[in-house]
Amino acid sequence: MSKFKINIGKPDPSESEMAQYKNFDYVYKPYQESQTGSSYGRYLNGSTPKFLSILIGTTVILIGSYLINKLMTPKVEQPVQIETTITTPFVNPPIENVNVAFQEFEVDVVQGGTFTYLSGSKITIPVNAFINGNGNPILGKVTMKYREFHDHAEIFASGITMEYDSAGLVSDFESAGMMEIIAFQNNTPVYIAKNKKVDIEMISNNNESRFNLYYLDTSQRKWVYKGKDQIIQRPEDRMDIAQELPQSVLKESDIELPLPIQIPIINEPIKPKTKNKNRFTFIFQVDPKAFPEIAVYDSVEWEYADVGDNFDPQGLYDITWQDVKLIKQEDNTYIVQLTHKNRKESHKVFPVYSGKDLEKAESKYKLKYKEYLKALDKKEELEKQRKEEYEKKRADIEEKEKERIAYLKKQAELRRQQVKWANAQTTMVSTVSRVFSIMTFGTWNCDSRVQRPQGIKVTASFKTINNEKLTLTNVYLIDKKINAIFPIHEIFSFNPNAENYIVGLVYPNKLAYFSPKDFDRIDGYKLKKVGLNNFTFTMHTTEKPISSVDEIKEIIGKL
Amino acid sequence: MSSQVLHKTDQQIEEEKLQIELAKQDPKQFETLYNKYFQQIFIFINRRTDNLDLSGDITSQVFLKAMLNLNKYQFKGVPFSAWLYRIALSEINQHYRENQKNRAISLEETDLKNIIEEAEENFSEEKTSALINAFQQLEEDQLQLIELRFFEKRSFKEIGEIMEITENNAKVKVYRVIDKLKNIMKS
Repeated sequence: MSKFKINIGKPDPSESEMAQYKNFDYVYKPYQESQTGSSYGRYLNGSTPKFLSILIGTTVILIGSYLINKLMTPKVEQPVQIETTITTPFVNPPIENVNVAFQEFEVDVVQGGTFTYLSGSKITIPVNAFINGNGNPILGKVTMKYREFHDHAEIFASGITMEYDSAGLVSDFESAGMMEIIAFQNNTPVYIAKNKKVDIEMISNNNESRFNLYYLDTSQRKWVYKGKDQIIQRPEDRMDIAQELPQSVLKESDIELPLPIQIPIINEPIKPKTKNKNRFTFIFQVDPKAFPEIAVYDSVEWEYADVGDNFDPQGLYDITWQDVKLIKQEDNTYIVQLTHKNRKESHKVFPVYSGKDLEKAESKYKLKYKEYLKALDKKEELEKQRKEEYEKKRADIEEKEKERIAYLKKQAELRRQQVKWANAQTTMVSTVSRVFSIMTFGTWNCDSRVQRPQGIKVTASFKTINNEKLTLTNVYLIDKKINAIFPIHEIFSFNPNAENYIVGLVYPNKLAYFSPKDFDRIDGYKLKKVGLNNFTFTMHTTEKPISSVDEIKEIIGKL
Repeated sequence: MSSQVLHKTDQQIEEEKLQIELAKQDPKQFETLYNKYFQQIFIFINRRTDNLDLSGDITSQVFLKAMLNLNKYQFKGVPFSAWLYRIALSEINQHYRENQKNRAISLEETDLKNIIEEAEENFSEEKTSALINAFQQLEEDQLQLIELRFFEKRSFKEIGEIMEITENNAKVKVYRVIDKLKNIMKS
């Protein structure tokens, strides 16, 4: 079957025939309508009305089938499903997206390595330390995520319970530093291999030896005692630690990529022209290296291009020219420049052939043109291949560069935090490292059990400074001198001699607080030392919801 | 049957750039460009449709699409007319894809002779008929190259501009099609 209808020798339409179809309004009107969104589709292949009718038809059928189904389907009572499992996670940060950020490290499984967290803590991963969920060893790169919680604000934001349940006896933890470490490969959690351990040197501002090591077992939903840590004095300057930055993942030299090597231009052979017998021609030898396109043919003559048939160059022949130059032009003609003393002549010429030389030149041209096309074909292929290789390399580099920029940005942010953290620790009495090894990823805490504050017992209620009743969540009593947060239930006790404050959350994530000064203002004589007092705490609240841990630190720091 | 020359002097190019800019600001000004290129686009389409009414419709579509997309057109060495030819080829292809009809090829006898010579074959009635049959085995883009080069006598540079390929690539592709035709004719 014919794919194409072939017309041979059929003339193009006449101007008058075409004029019948020429009307700018045929274009301009639909253009205007398309701009006002009316009926553009009508002018573009007429598909809209058809499409609309299909849509309308479909809608009618759908409504019809819905009604039929509604009438025909017997009513079945669906069993009511009751959720019986408690799904609240054990670690439940009180404010979404407000938590201590993880710092990420990449570790090559077969090499292991030591990494430094922004506080200066060191994490040492041994070689071949990882297994997957099936218990099989893994290779390649693993992403480690690590963060620490050192003060009231960080512990508050973490949502990690500081209550310790020992055989039903609940007490609270005072922390000398808590950290969380997790690891992933391709976003899937990985675990520490059997008989391997990850060493942690966690910086701490508490050098006392009364602290034990606990692991947060989220499946048992409790802290589990894991022994004792070792305390090492850290002589380093914290600012030095702050300046310790991981190296860039990509070297500058990796970014530079030379452009693909250009294949030299292949000269197209010039089609030989027939000599015009009415015009003057001349002969002269050309350097075959300078003019290879001419050198391929024998017996070339040069014909004047820019002169009429009456041109008589006889005057040119009478002189012995001192210098002759031939310059190739883009249109396959040449300029011949003749110089004799001060006289200069310049003429446009082109190579011509006659008789048998022309026949020879023509057949040579055919061969040369074929060779030329083949060479051109090869060149195109090669250039295409090189371009593709180049584009691929370029894309790889760009991808790496993107990763590098993201990495550097992250590092810059971490460094900012690091400096801030180091500066915030200037009041620390001493800095030590609490050293321990872990065999399970998760949350680890250097803790000492601490008794809940005793003193005045109150049934607490809360109100705003405008005397409006206040409902608080995540309410804690905090003694400034103890690194612990004590959850407040309706009835709690506080030590009137301690520097206390209360923090909690008010919808929507505003921080409510009762400061040590507010505690000082409580009229102690009105509260019974023995027995239960009813007391309403008048809370201050932030104007806006809390958006970062730093914000909590700043507010608490001022209390 | 030869093509309109695509290439212009620097002054003509500048004038055209100005016309395009004016049309971008005021669509009514597009009429100048419409009048300038209507006939050559109409002929270009009619050679491939052999139907005046259809050619009229497709020509209007080409100019409408050009108007709608004029803001996207930027002069980067490719003449405005080449851009119109590109749209025209796309519209013709779309029409025949949707309508499943055979499109037309318009040529002169001498064109066939030129192709046969290019294929280094001796011209004869038999060869001519073999060549016409061989056209049926070409892909659309291969036929377009033959049409532009041999039936419309366009330079490789123009072909490159219309088909969005390099001049060298146009040469190579035409050479490959000639080779293909030669092989089909022999088989």
